[in-house]
Amino acid sequence: MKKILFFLMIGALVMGCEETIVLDLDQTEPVVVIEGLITNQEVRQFVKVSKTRGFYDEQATSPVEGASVWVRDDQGNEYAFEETQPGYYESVEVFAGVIGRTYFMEVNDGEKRYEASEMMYSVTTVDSLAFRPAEDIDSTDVERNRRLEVLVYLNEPQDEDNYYLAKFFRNGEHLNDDGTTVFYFNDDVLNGNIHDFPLPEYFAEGDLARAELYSISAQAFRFFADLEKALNNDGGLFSGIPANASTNIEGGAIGYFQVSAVEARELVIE
Amino acid sequence: MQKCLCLGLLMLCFISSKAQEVQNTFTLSGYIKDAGTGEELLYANVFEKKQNLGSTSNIYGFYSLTLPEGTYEIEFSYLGYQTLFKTVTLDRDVELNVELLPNAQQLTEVIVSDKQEDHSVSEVGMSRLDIPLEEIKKLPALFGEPDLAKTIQTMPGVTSAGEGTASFYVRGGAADQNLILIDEAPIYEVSHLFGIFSVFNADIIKSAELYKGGVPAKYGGRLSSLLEVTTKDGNSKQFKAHGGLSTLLGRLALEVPVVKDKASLLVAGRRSYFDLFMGLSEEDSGDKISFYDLNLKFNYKPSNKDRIFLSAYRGRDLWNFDDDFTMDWGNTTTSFRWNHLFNERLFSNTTLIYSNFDYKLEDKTDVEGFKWEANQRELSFKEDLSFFVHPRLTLHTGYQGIYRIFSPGTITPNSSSSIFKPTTIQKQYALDHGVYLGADHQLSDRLALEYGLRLSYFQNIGKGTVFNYADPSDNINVEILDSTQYGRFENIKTFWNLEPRFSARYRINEEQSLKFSYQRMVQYIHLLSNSTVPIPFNTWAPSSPYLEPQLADQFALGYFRNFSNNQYELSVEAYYKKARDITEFADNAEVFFNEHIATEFRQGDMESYGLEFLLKKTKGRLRGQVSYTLSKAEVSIPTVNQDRAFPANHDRRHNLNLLMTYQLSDHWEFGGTFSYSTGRPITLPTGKYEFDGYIVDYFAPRNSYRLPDFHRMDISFTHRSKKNADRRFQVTKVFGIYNLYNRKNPFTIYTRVKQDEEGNIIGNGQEKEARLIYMFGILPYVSWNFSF
Repeated sequence: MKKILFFLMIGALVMGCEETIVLDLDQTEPVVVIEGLITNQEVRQFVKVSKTRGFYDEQATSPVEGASVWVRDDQGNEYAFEETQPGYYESVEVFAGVIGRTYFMEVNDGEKRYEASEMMYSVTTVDSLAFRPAEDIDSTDVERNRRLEVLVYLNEPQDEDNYYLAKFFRNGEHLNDDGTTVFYFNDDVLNGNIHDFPLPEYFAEGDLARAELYSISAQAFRFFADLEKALNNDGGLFSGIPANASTNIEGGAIGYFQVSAVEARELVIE
Repeated sequence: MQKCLCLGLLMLCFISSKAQEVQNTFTLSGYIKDAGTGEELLYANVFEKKQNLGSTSNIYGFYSLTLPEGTYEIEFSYLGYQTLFKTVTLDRDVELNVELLPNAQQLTEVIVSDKQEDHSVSEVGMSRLDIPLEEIKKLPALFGEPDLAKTIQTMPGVTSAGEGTASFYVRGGAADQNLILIDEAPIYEVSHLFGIFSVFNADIIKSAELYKGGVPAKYGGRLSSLLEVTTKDGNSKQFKAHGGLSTLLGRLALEVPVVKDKASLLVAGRRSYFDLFMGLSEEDSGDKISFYDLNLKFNYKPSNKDRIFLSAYRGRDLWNFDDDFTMDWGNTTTSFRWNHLFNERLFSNTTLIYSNFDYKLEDKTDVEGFKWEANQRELSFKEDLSFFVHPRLTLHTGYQGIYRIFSPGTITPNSSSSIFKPTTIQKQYALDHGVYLGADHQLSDRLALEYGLRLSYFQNIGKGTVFNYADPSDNINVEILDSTQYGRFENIKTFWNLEPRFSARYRINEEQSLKFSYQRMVQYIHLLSNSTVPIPFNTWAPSSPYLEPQLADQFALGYFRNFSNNQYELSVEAYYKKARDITEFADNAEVFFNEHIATEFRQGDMESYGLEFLLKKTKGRLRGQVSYTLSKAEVSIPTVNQDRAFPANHDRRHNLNLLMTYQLSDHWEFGGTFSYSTGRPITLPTGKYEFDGYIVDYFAPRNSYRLPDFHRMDISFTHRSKKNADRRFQVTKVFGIYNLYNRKNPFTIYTRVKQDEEGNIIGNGQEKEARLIYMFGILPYVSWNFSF
């Protein structure tokens, strides 16, 4: 659907013109934003706590410092979190989430308590990455000598309903069309054989390509879908009328507490 | 109880009219036609002075007038035509077909209205606008292409989403709440090029009437309005061709008298030709955008008692991006009608209608290759009977049955290496019935009524599977408890409603009248769109276990006055509309290809009221109209926008429109339009936040801001060549300027991370900016039209 809206926007821009305007916006009360991620990797897991800022502010976010953050699982394990940077809380100890377990998060910013729970689903492996010269040479980034496309290979299990979030990187840079694309998908319309699937941008020799695949819940799928709608709306003319993204956090905060099994694959292009 | 009362009133009215019939009466009936082209004249006037009784022809040009035995001088009149007097002796029923001659000075001139002179005061109906088609052609138009939809948007009580859109919104309603009929066949998508043009080819339209209220019992199925478009029958006397070229379009229409005075054929086509230029520039060599419309109408009179019409329409948009991605969509309709006169007093119209709207998206790349198809089809049978009981009473009754098939989508992979698998969202089916009884009833010279009752019955039928959701409004964690299978034509859920309709006119004197109307409208089918302007990729759904029919009651009161020998027409109307179960969607709803769309439905209330002023001048060198509407429409939908009421998407407080034409000389005519309206409601971000590196807008409540006000002025000059008067081949040229003072009218606003002109992110990557899109700056155009 995004593709259609993209073409629609192109159409509107071909016919019309655009210019930057300054909106006369009301001040609104800042809202707490929580971004948590627990994975099945042996790392210090994190939870970020911040507040929304005004649309025209220079910074997008203001950190919420001094909050207390806890995560526990359905087996009775509890993990304490400590603030390592302003608004950035990391588990005191390194731990790996376990597939099939449900994780509970609790954040207390001194005024309110916010809670969320989420289960960790299994994820399929990214079998391999490969590269080849781009087929459509005209659209490659010739200036930076990026003429290669990187292809992903994986087999998606068809016996259950799965939801995924994918992230692609080039030399550590998250490829997301300048922060406008979220690669979330489910397997409703997929046949399971994902072969020769090209990454979103082109690569040059010597680049490091990385693909990460996260299992997510149906609710997280919805959250990322909402997030992408918010990033790409046209003011609600042809796209749906903009609305804030849904959340799994209770207590009045926005954002998401994500729990995912992760599979990653890297390829040095040479 | 309320329903019983309505029926009782209806009965009472019939009884009282019976009492008036006393002496021997006979009926005079027939068709009223244009002597030059053989086209039937709609709503022409038939009048007898002695008895002070009159009638008008119906939409097939048929009239019937019953009088006591005697000899009469009957007056046949029609605006723009010479009045004809015929002496008739009624000692038995008489059939009389008449042909009226166009006024001499109007041969090359324009017919302003196709109704009787004082129709706005004398008609019972209110909230009805007949769109002046000939006038439209002389008014300025975007790219020089006269457009019915764009003119409708300038009428009182009607708003648009902005320029370059073809949908219209009536008295606070949504785009899918308009029943749009071309020769009785419904059109589901009115726009070409996402609304820059509409599907109506102005060259071949005979009449277009918009009902914002006072809809007769004959029609139902939509909440807000009825737009009834009738195409020309084609000249039955001589061969005619007309056509033209405007900035982006070419059009041609042929009128062929197959059998003189008995059968005629109209074939018309329109095609955009800008794609032919697009290929010329190196850059977009692969992109092609085009559209076309084809209309065909055949009519045949096997006898004086029978008429047969066959109308067909097909329109299509084709978009091709570099041969990698294509999209196309369009309507196809066919209607077959048979008018039959059982006798002088009983007129029958039998109609068979097929209508299809479909769209197709295709990605032709290898790995991501797919074809996505969806459509909306209906087949319907309609029988309408008009019984001319008495000169003061006409009864209308009939039945319409519609079989509907909703195909929300099928995805097919179109290459062997595609990652997609064939997937279909299950089809839905419905049978939609309506029976009605209505009357046009003149109680006295002053008081006339139109009233009726429609019984609608809707069956959502199999074959299909209905899921039983743990919580039907949980669109995020969809949990299915179980499901029920239904066989073909098995009832899944049925609905019925009684829809009373009532209009009254009280004539204060020759020049003034007061009118009142009440209507209940019910809509059983719902457009799956959560945007402000529907796009051609929206599908429809029937009322079902998870979707209630939408229902609206509307009251309107009006004052109508004509001045200076009907030169000026003034009307003031106030309306109040209350709708319930109007269909909306959850915040961030997924309306495309969603198997569990039922969980996204949210239904609630809409309240709308307003005041509409219209002043028209219909005679003289200067003609035109000024309209002003003051209105408000508010929607409240549980769970949407955190349960808070919000302005309807097309709520605009003030709306002012001016249309005018001025005859400068025998050859030159000036046209001008001006529009002003309060900006459309819009949802804007007041804040922002960061999530996983994305800078995301934090939105204020729905529709809590407004775009800047809209205003625009256009002008045109129409030239008719000097030699025209006696020649058969006639040429008119139109020169115009759209958006004369180059106003940057806001189309919409979107936001992005702050960027420079080349699109490179500047600053810290966390700053955002708002971008205003405006569609058309100053746009001169020429168009060239011919006819012979």
